[in-house]
Amino acid sequence: MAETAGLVQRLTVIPGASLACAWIGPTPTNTELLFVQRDNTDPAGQGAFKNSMVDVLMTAVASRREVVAIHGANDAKITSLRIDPA
Amino acid sequence: MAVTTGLVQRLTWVSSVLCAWIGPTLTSAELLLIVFESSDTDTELGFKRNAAKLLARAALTGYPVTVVHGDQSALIDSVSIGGFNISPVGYAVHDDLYSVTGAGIPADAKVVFDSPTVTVTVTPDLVRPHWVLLETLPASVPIGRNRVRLEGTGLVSDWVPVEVSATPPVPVRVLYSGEPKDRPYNVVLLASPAILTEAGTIVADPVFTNRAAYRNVVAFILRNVLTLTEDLLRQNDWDREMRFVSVFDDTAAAIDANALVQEDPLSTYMQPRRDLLNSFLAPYGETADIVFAIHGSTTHNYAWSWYTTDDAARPGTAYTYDGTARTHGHFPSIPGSVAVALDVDGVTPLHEFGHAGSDYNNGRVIDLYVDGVDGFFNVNKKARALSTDPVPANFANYNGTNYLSDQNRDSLGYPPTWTSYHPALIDTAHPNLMDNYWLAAGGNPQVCRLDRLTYAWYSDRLRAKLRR
Repeated sequence: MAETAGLVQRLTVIPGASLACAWIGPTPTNTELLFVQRDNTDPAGQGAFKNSMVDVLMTAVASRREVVAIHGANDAKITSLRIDPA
Repeated sequence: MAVTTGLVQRLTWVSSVLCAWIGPTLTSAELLLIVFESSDTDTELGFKRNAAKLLARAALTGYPVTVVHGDQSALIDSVSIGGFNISPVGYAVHDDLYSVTGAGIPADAKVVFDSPTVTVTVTPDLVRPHWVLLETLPASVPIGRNRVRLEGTGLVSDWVPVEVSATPPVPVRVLYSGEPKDRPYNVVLLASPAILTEAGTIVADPVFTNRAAYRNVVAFILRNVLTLTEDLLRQNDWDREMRFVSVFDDTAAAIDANALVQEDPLSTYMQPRRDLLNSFLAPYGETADIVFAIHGSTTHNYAWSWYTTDDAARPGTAYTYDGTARTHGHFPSIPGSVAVALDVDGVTPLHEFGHAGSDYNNGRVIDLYVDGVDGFFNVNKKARALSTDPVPANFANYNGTNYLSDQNRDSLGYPPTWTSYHPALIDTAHPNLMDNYWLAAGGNPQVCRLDRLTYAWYSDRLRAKLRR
């Protein structure tokens, strides 16, 4: 697993693809593109969990708070999210 | 596909449709829709809710959105927020550190806060091409909604909405989050909650009574390591990849585990307690490569550093020094550490980084203003058997390249009985940064640089860590 920490510089929600793309990094031009995606096969609990991660990403954009996105070492899919103490 | 960008002027939920008016004004806004269909799956409904929430957040915070929809359709395909060309970092709090990141920021950049009542322009205390730091967010910036931008030669950035508050400063402030990857090189500047005294007692560190001085030292340290003539850390904008964090947690108890510095009983030096640093930082989510422990002692105000201990069990980059195979470790097991007082001056932070960033086992960078060498592997200092022996022409071979010795020993007039010598300087007009920099010509130590060998060795070491 890898952890990418940074500000959410941009967030795009694409309802038709059940996809949220988050550009995370220190500056607007130095970001890593990561994403949260809901699958039709996700159980309700898993779906709600993913929606709540999208919620946090939205809050982080406007609050300028750093998030720590956990994802596979070679995978941009966010599997967990952390907000450290501020 | 069509793209509509602007502020969310109005949102209306009617029946199962969200109507969003997006544009520069309500009268010129475009009406776009999210329709919640009864035939939608839970997954689809969930993400339509997310898009609706994003529009609501944008409306409430004053953030513009970018909405993609069909050329002939008002149905929203995607919603984006953010995308400014600068990025304020963290909460905007009066009398706290504050930074803004971007790209191509000129040296004369100013931070401009604008509100309905007043515009406040602030000169940053640190300017790098990718970020600026304010030592303090002035109280003249009104509480509540403001917008902020950077202005300077060739730059007028976007306005970004920020909420300014007067609430207490935050304990952990990310100043610059670093390369967006696993474990960027992390420099933590912290206020030591307590001091271990010569007598063996734990006392609260007075640094907590002087937050303004702490902020001042944070800015001083960062200017010191990032803007002086010696460009070790900022070469090729390497600091763009580094992470910088401040920890000032005055709720941390004055207990042994939080006494991150200790008085040296034999001198006025204050030493970092390096074995405590990892455990102290863990609850804050930080793993440091370098720690500057800032303390408020006035009796033990001489700075001290401990070298990094690289993690030998993790990957590294091989090198040779005088034919011996060695390693630049990519990760530390114990971070390099520096204890500095609130009255730190000169080029002390950069000099101390010179020690702290080197490694206990695979290359120490040591002081040159004292004679002699210890029995360890020192990168930048050797000794002759006798002071009457000539200084060897070649100092060392690093990775196949011969580096010359400095035949003049910094031209500082050291006693002829000294046996030590060091590599040739980059700038022969000024003493080595690791030497007595106070003797620099003109009394300006800020021009001092490293020697050629140490610079090459250190650059490779930092590169290995930055690219890990």
